[in-house]
Amino acid sequence: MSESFGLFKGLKVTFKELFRKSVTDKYPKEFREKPQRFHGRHVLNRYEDGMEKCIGCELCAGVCPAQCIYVRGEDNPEDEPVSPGERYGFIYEINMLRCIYCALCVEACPTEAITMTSLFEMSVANRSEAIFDKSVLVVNDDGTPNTHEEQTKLTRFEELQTSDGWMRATSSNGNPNFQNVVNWSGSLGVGKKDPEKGQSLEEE
Amino acid sequence: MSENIKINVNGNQIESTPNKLLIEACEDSGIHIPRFCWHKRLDPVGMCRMCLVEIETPRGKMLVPSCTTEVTDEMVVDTESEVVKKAQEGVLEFLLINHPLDCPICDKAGECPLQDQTMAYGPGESRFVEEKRHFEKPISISEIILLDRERCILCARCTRFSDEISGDPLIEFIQRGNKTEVNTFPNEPFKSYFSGNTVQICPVGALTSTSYRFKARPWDLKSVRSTCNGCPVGCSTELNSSQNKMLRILGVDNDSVNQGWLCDKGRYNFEYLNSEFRLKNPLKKIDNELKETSVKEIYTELSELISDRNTNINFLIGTNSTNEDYVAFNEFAKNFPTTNQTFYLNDDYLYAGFFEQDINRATIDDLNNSEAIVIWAEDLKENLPVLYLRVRQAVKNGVKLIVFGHSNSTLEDIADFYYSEDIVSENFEIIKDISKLKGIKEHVKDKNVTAIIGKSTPYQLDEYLDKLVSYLVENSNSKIMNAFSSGNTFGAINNLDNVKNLRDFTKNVSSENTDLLFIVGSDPIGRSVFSNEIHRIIEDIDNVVCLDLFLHETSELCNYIIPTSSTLGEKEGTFTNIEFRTSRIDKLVPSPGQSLSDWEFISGLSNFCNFINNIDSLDGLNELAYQDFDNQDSPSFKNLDKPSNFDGIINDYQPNVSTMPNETITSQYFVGKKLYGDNITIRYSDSISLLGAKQFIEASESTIEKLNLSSGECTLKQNGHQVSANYVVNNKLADGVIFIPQNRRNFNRFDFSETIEISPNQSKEALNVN
Ligand code: SF4
Ligand code: SF4
Ligand code: SF4
Ligand code: SF4
Ligand code: FES
Repeated sequence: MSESFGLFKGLKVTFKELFRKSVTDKYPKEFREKPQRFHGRHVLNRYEDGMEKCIGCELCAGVCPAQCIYVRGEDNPEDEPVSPGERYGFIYEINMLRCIYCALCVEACPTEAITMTSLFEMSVANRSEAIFDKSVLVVNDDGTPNTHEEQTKLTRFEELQTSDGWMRATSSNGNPNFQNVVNWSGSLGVGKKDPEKGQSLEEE
Repeated sequence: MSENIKINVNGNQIESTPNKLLIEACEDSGIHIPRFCWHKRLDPVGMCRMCLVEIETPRGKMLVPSCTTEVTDEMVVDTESEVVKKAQEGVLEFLLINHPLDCPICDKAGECPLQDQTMAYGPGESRFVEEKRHFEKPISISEIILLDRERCILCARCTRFSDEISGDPLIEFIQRGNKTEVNTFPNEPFKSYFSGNTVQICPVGALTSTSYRFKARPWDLKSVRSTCNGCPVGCSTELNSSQNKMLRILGVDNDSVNQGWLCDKGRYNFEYLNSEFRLKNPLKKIDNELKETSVKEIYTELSELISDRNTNINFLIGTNSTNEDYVAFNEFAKNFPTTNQTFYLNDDYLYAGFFEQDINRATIDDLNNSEAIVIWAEDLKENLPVLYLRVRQAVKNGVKLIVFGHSNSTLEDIADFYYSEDIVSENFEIIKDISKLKGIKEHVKDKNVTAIIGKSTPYQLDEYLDKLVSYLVENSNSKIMNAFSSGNTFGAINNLDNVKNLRDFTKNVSSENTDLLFIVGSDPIGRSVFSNEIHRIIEDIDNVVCLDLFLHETSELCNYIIPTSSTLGEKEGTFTNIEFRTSRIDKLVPSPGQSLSDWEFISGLSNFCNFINNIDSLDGLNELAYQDFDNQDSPSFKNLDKPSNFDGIINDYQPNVSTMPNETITSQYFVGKKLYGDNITIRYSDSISLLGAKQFIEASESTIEKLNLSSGECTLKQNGHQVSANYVVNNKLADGVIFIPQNRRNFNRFDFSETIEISPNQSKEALNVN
């Protein structure tokens, strides 16, 4: 008696799972929505006037736990400055194979030059291509990100357009709340970022 | 000495000596007081007020700056009280009012005292919302120094250094109050040989150097302690590199040698290491063309030449190698009969008389401890810059200074007695009775004297110097230092058996008595005054092997060229300085291509020829070099690597130098060297290369008039060789003396013992007329 009851008890779980909605996606035919703060591939942003935000300060390289960033600064050419101020990022490389997507670089950056997108499907044909340099990382003049990845079924370029929705633990004025005001400007590209769920434009 | 006194700091008793500054006394017992303007080697000024502490006075507790307060017995000090903390916060808040938020792009960030102390003692938050003070971002105040006045916190370290230490106060505060800024005088660049030190001691990033600008951040620098081999002073340095590239050299405070200072040549002459023109592969001359080859092939060809051990081998040894390299050459040479091999040193200033007389050797510190200093040598500021600073320091402490010669024109200003015209002839002979000179009578006879003696020009005869040396030895309690111009000369002399000088080379060496010539790290054709003779000799000799970093006037002529590692940062070893102090040379960056250290090449060759030598390892060579010394104080790696010996060890070497008896080649010109020259390394160090490229001669105004020069430029001509140059008026030179720097391009091609025709630049004048 007790034995056959045990059998039904066990099958109960099986039946329950049988009728539950499947959690498996038909990837890559279908893509799942990523959380808003997903950490994907980096971009290097520009200001509205097209100047690069990166000043080549190497703080991101210094903080990176995987030591996968290599930056070298240089004097801004006087007649054609790349960034505001004296110094610009002359070399900027990230080794995407080593990156652990921790976003510490984003947090360290004093100018919010480096931010992350939601794109994580990156395919490269060899290792050296996995080292993304400025030609890939810096966004275009209109603020749209550059691509490097060869088109595969996996690459969803629209995810490059979404920012990782996350800036820094503390904003530059010390206020942790998102305010949707340009104090250090927005995240990806040149625009400002919309408020996240639960955040409001107005001060309460 | 005076009695120790006791003071009470934060409730603890500490001991100190009277007249010590409070900040120093605390530092000595491990209590750190924050500071910006105070620097151990500079006079205190009390500019920044960061070092405020509370002391108890009869009128109650009082805030005083600890850097201008001397300790007194039973003083009660509080460095951590609430009042002190509030004062520190206040001082920092005020300093930061006008300090820009430049840290991300500032070269100092990461090792910046302002950053560090704001973190440690600052208010943590800014209340300042107004616009900050603005200046034009970095202005270049000399070829190698940039000044960002916004960042300056007015600590006066740079101005005090230039005034007190280097004696060329070219940088000063201008304006007042809120507008105060540090700057140079109008139209007068910060043209100091020691300007790099101000960059190092500036507590913020206001002064930066062009060579390091934006090259790296402090946290990705690797560093080792080493010794500068730029000149025989042998200053202690810290080498910094990032990504295997040498990026910066800093001075290390070695109390007995450089006290933290470096000259700008020692500091900035490193960029050549990263030059694309460095030799990377061995070369061999085939049909008058240099072709790449392998070391093995060179070994094979050389071994055919030398393995019967009866070859005539000569060495022309440069002064840029380590002691270990010299030992390797010496051991290698022992495989050949002594009559068949000789070492010639690439130094046309070597005063060998020094080693033949029975003298007491002086150390640099002796300068401070003597009653008078006698100098008769090359211009110290140009050739031994940091020794010049030490002489200045001694004079400031009250030591009398007596200077002979035409060359030490920079010491003239501080000398108590300057004997030039009428006493020292144009040929650099003292033509008056030495004992009758006032300075000698009063301050040298029977006194403690330190003398710096060396050739002022390659054409000075040894016997002239001998006369002064023997006077000093006989009539005073003298210690003597041999001044000479280049690098590790003493290391070479100590470790090579029987060294001769460059003039001997021109007399002795010819293709008849030399089957194989090794030229090690030297460019006598490009630099020495015997350029033409040496050119002829080297061209004649069938087999010339050259070990060098670059192709230059000399190495181009050689049959085999081996690329070598630079002694600056690319190899390990030891270096012996002007006072026979041996200290460590260390390696930081890899050398390019197939470069070898000198000793690696020669030990490989020795093995290839099956010679039995004990020169296979650096440690072995180091042991060989110092085997004669007591284990305890020999400068072996083992001893030098003990922290107490980082400053080096002085030993009593007995070198064997035998140069030819004096000849009477003299010159009617005053031939000398300037700090920056057209040396191959300076040529390839971008930030200073221009400083060594200017062609000029110097003479006093009346001499220039006599030469009929008027256009600003002149042409030097001799036997078809012609160089155009500027002339510089230097009224410190005696009438009739014309100074020609030998280390400028093509100047050394002249035969200075003959007349050189100096005429106004014709073509220029013609241009003006049109
Ligand atoms: S996300 Fe993290 S691991 Fe990746 S580059 Fe940035 S700091 Fe480095
Ligand atoms: S991305 Fe930001 S942190 Fe990194 S070098 Fe550029 S400015 Fe500095
Ligand atoms: S430039 Fe630097 S060293 Fe000179 S006063 Fe300003 S902060 Fe001090
Ligand atoms: S004085 Fe000599 S040893 Fe010192 S830094 Fe200058 S070149 Fe180097
Ligand atoms: S360190 Fe004492 S006032 Fe500056």
